[in-house]
Amino acid sequence: MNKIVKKRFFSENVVQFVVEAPEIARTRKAGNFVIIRLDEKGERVPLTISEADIEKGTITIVVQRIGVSTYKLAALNEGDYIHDVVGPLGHPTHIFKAGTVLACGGGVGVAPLLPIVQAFKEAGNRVVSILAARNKDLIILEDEIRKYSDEVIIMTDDGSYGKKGVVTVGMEDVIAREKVDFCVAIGPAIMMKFCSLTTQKHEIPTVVSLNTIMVDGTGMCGACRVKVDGKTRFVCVDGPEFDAHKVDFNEMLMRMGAYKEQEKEAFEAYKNAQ
Amino acid sequence: MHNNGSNNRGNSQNPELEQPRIDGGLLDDALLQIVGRVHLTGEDAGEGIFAEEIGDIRNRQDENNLELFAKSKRAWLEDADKYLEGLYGKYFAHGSESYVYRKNIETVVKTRSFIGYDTIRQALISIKIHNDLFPETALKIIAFGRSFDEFTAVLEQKNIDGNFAAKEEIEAFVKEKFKAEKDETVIGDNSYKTDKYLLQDLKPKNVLVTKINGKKEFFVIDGDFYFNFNNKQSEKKMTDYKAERAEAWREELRKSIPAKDRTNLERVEMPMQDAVERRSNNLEVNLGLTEEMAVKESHRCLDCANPTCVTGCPVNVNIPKFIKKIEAKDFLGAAAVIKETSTLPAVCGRVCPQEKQCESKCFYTQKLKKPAVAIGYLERFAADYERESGKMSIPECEKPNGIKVAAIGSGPASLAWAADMARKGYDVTVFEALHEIGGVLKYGIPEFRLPKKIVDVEIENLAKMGVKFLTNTIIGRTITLETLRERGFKAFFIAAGAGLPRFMNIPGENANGIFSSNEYLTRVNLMHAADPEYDTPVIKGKNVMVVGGGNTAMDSVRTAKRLGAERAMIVYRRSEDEMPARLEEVHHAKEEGVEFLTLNNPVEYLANDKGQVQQAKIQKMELGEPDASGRRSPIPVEGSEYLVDTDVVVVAVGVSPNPIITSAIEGLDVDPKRRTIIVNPENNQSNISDIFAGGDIVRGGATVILAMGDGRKAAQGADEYLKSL
Ligand SMILES: Cc1cc2nc3c(=O)[nH]c(=O)nc-3n(C[C@H](O)[C@H](O)[C@H](O)COP(=O)(O)OP(=O)(O)OC[C@H]3O[C@@H](n4cnc5c(N)ncnc54)[C@H](O)[C@@H]3O)c2cc1C
Ligand SMILES: Cc1cc2nc3c(=O)[nH]c(=O)nc-3n(C[C@H](O)[C@H](O)[C@H](O)COP(=O)(O)OP(=O)(O)OC[C@H]3O[C@@H](n4cnc5c(N)ncnc54)[C@H](O)[C@@H]3O)c2cc1C
Ligand code: SF4
Ligand code: FES
Repeated sequence: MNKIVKKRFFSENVVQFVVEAPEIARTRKAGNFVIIRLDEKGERVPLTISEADIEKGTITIVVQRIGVSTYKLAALNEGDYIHDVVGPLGHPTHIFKAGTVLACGGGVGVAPLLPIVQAFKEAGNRVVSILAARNKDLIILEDEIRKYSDEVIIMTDDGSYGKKGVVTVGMEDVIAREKVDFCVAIGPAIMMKFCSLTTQKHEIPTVVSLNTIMVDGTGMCGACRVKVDGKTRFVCVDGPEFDAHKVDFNEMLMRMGAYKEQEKEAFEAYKNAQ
Repeated sequence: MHNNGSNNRGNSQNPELEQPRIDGGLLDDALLQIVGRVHLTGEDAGEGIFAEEIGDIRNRQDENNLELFAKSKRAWLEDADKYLEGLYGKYFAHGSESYVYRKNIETVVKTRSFIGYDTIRQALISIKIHNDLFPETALKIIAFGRSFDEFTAVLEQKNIDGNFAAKEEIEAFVKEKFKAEKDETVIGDNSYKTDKYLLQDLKPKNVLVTKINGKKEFFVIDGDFYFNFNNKQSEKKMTDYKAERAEAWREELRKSIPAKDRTNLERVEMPMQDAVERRSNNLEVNLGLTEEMAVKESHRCLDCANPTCVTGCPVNVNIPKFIKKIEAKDFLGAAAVIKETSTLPAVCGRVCPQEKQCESKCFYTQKLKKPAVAIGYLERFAADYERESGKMSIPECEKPNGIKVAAIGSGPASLAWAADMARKGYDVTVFEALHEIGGVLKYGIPEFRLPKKIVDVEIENLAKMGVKFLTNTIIGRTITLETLRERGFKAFFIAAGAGLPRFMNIPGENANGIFSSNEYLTRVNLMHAADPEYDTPVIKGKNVMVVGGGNTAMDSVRTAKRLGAERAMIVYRRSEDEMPARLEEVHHAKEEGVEFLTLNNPVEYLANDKGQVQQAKIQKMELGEPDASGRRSPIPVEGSEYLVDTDVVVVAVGVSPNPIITSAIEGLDVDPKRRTIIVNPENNQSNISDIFAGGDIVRGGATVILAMGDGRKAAQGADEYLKSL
């Protein structure tokens, strides 16, 4: 049982929680995630740790409401408990001095990007961050990202904030103007796919953090499997970060739709019950 | 490495051209050396891809590349002078050579007695050959010693023609090598009464008994070579069985009914749920014996002077004693007898493959050629009786000694270890990665075979004994072992299981609707996906295909039936005889309408545009020529591929150890290929003195009873270690 000590809305659909988890706070590194289960009957939901406070014994997660579990989570309040939190899971991000790092975050993907941006900055890199979302309301953690970036570019699909256009437009601009040595992209699978295609064109080494469907998160089930460089890998234990240019994004996108119907049904039932 | 220099074999560059013969033909100039304990590369058996596994190992440049080996498999089999296989247990293969070894000699001896013998011989021959040509490989093979529970040393061969080295020489050798205490050393002939079935089955020409580090060891001295067996079951124990058998109450019972009347009784039938009805519920299939049935069945047991059944049980439960307690209607007493050796009788009574263990060794099976005494049913009866009586005894614990110890994982190995350690007064904490305690007993084996409440009662009892359970804690991730040491934990038992599912790496295998058996069963058992109250989904197929022939495959296919599959199929590459699953599960699956496509193997999956699997391309297999062991191996029939409609596929072709914990402990001795932890078979201690290990993480996918036995042995070992500090 882990207590929620703080809750903050970034937007209607994006919520940040600070949760008590002293052991995880102590051992987590940038890039790690946790799996939570809301209650006895809940499913196991993977969420990236965006920050941690060892002294207070807390971790921070940012969640976007998209289905039953994330809606239920977003409905919890300060003082409520999450039934299970397990982690830190996955390999931490490999942080090194690359030179100029281009960090691309799409939607809620900005949350997991934050500790990575921070770590790359602290390792002495020039960091250019691109935050992309459908509209202004969905841009999150801008101030925090600014703190650790040499430059921040905002992209919105509708032009309601920053520049109009998708993330790759911003990427092309940066790449055209300066030498980029390394790229990190985190966001929806489809966004990562296009980020990857962009940097592949310019031969810039890129990592992505995959958010496949998971059950246990410890390598036990293979639900999270995806082909990387022609080989089946388990995202939870072999990843979540992989060389973007080797990921089979089409297979990944296909696998993420495995439960579409059940998810839709469950969501409708959930909505009706509210 | 030793090489006697008199290698007179031609063509020594290519060992495949000179396959060693079973009769040891190549041994003329052999000098077999003890090289020490290393371990052999290999994979575990079973679940349908055994032959592939061999090839896999042989060609294992790449851990995951099953395709490669599948292709090379035939070459492998043709080249091999002989390959060994069985229904159950462990197989070992070594990379560049055509040898397959089986780890668990016990079981081999049980299923095919001659194999156990040949396996060891072959091992030795192979060591010899590698010794000359590839000394490094030879080292790896001897490694074996560590994987083989029983086989720990190979002694130098002096003379091949039936006269073996002089007693004095052997004695001297053993003394030096093992610092044996001489006065205890005796050499007997094979009439030496050890009651050790292995020795009996192997019919050694001579046996040397000596005391090493205060423990009795047996060295079997065959005409060709000598090897040593750890004597797991001490002689004393067997003498105890005899003394107990002589007790008056047993005498009286034996006399009360003539043996002839006993053997005329029919074996009891297990009452069970109707096959059609049970397909639509998740309740336990077997209902358990009534008191009358149990007592009647107990009459069949002859209380033999030489209870061979006991030797068939991996932990040597005192079978005749508990059965006679049932005959005397002392059911609680019967449960107590089982609990002297087994920690989880209600579980083992349900899931042990009795037909391959105790019941295969029963006098009825062996000599009378009649159905065995229903030992498993009776074990279950006694354990259930005790639990339901509400008089389940909580074992007495010694005064708390304040020493903190930790078990990692909460499967049967850990539960057994925790129970013994708590009894010895230790402060035990069990750490579990998942949100439930019980390991495979919870997430793998379904409710209809092992009701969860039975496991929960065992866990509650442990809690009453003071054992602490911490879920959601991954050792190596949430907390490192080093941190636990800093927090005062003095000994560790790693029993993290073999949770990593294997896939076949055939085209289309990542399509939606294709699960590992672990995922499928975890969704249904641990996450209750079939219950609409719970959030986790599962795809309920109409035509469900399960690949494999082990317990996991049977559990998956029967689960699919219960989730409403119209057609539920087992696809297995060998014939039914080779299926490693418990016999009862195969019977139950058939009764429930499961189709068995044996000698069939999927080679590809075809999906629709949404990525949902629609069909499986299946290749037929046929049994090839019998090989030297008399077994016929499956060979793909070219051009026999056909399509089967399927919307859910469950891949149940085996598991490997979970690497999270082993990779997090620096310096831990781990088999580089199998990823199992290497332990001293005597006490299950790893190369790091405060770390013990057991269960599937040491054995690869094995059984509940072996996991439990490991837990007990490791508790003994940890206790001795902690007392020695
Ligand atoms: C390593 C990792 C880190 C993640 N980090 C974050 C994060 O920091 N913030 C955040 O908002 N989201 C994160 N996600 C995604 C998050 O887990 C899913 O959005 C969530 O599980 C959806 O559940 P739901 O019931 O609300 O939606 P559903 O209606 O069940 O599903 C909606 C979508 O989520 C995906 N999904 C469903 N179940 C799972 C599952 N068990 N695991 C992963 N994806 C699933 C489906 O493909 C579907 O597209 C992460 C995922 C992974 C694998
Ligand atoms: C579906 C299925 C059916 C089976 N049927 C039978 C049968 O009928 N008869 C039989 O005898 N055997 C059967 N087996 C095999 C048997 O269940 C196993 O051999 C046995 O459970 C092994 O016990 P264990 O204690 O070694 O590990 P497990 O039972 O595997 O438990 C290991 C536990 O450790 C946890 N863990 C792993 N890593 C960590 C970590 N780093 N920190 C904390 N915890 C960790 C895991 O989450 C798991 O809960 C079956 C197996 C399966 C999967
Ligand atoms: S061998 Fe069979 S008959 Fe003999 S004691 Fe064992 S169970 Fe009874
Ligand atoms: S989530 Fe189960 S193996 Fe990755």
